[in-house]
Amino acid sequence: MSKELDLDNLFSQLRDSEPELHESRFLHSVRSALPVKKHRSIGSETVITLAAAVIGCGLAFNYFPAAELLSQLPRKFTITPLFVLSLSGIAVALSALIYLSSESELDL
Amino acid sequence: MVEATDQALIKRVAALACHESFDVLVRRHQAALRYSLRQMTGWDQSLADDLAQETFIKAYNSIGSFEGNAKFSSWLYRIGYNLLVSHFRVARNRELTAGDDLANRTTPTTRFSSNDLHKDLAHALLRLPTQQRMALHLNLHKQLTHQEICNIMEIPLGTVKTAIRRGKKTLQEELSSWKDGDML
Repeated sequence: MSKELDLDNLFSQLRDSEPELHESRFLHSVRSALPVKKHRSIGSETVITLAAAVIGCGLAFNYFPAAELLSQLPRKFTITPLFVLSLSGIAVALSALIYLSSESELDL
Repeated sequence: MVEATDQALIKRVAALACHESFDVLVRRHQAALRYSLRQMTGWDQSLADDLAQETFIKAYNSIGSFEGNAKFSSWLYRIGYNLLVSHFRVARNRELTAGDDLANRTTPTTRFSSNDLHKDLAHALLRLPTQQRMALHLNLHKQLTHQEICNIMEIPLGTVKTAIRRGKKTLQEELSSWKDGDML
């Protein structure tokens, strides 16, 4: 009776000598079989953007209370310690937000 | 340079249908999947590559359903295994109709050379039922745990253990003709 083969040893040899399978042709074949992304033409994108801009301008012209808001603008600024503190607080919060969002995008 | 994780790439593919991100995933996982499928198909390179290609396309189309609690490679193996099973089911039906029998095919009784060890084993594995073949490959070659195999193949743990035990026994019998080679 023949001696039993050591399967663990056999598979270990296979793992060590696994052939290198080249990717370029395979990658190309996968890529060509993927569904094509639907792109809008530049012309239609421009028309949509322009139309949206014109509508937005029209609405803003009719309904935006520009005069009322302008009248509420302060005529003079007084820089107080509280004002400086608030400004630096906002700057710190903004910097932290930008840093965190860029960190989370790092692995993308 | 920071290497993008599979999870991050998957998110981009799911959200933006980003082909470039999917290319990275294909590059990263193609070799292992194609090798495994070659082992599962008796080293039929074109069939294995066709199945691997189909696996990646299926993965791309259903990437939104990928749950991040499993490894991407395991998910690919699951898709690949299902395709393999369907392929052999269709092939078997065709062969039964044609009067041929997969199990009656001859397998090499001697190893050709150390370079052909992969092919020889793939041929020997072909004598095993698909389930045993896959379970054995994932366990002995990929060194996955029974639980991981059970998740990939979507079969009960007991069935996985039985498939591996029976597969080992059959493979031992198949390879007994290899004698005490210099490598084994």
